[in-house]
Amino acid sequence: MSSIRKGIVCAALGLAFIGAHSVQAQDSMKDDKMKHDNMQMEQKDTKPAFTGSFHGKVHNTAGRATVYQQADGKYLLRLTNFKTSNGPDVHVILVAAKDADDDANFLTNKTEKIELGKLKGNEGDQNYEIPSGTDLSKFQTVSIYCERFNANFGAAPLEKF
Amino acid sequence: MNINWIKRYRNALLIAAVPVVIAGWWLFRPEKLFVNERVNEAAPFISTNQPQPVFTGKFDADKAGTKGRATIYKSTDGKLELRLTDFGSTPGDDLHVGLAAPGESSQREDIGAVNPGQMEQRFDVPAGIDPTKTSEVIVFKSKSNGVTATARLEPF
Repeated sequence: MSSIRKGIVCAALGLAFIGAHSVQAQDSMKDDKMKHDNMQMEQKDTKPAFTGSFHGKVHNTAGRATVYQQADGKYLLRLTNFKTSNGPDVHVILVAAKDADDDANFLTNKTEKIELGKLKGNEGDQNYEIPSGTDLSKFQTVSIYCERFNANFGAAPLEKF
Repeated sequence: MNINWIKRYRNALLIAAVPVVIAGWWLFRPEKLFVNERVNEAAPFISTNQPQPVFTGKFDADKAGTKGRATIYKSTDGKLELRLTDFGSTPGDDLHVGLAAPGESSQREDIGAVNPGQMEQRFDVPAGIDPTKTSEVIVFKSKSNGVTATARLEPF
């Protein structure tokens, strides 16, 4: 092989390498842009941020709890396919724990709680406002809580959506 | 306490029992055992022309290190889309994602190749798939058929 030929082969290989690289770079740039556009589009909308399923055997609680982030940054809790047993003085609260046992006692455990309001109904879809400034990386569990008897009817551990 | 005593104070006993019964009723609200209160509040969406999540599930943690969430979105025209979020897996395994009925991972519907390093990925779900029956999203090696992760779909 003459040195000229070698040179040509080397140059061609180099060009091919650069070419392949720039195509890849363009592709990833395009992907990033698409991702970015999608994110911007969805950020204007209310979108789920955390979600979890209810468990509760003593008082038969089932359904889903989802925390939505609204366009203005505020968080809102929505219960769907929800069902629990009806009872006196039942509230929806957030507790500072990863999950709660079905027989959890939040008073003796001294678990920090945030009150979201009285349970609107023991069946069906319902929304609750979450006070602004609530640290959802700390308050990770939704509990259906009978305040009068300090009984946890059911709990849903929230996980990133 | 004999019967005569009860007879003599019957009225007083009855009167005394009334507040006790009322207090007991207020505390326990026994009638609530038989009454359901149903509510139906609207979803907090500003626009509903975007696809909405209908089923979701988390991949179980496993040795292969596959993690993330699988969610089925439904658009207004009824089309289903599978989205993986927070996703991550070990590179170099020729991974695919599919839908299968519980316990029947061999009869899965292959939905597409998965990029193990990409956190967010979207796949079209072929028409005719019912996520209430094929309720598991599986990530599997297309060559060896080994399932690396399963996410059980639950109604969103």
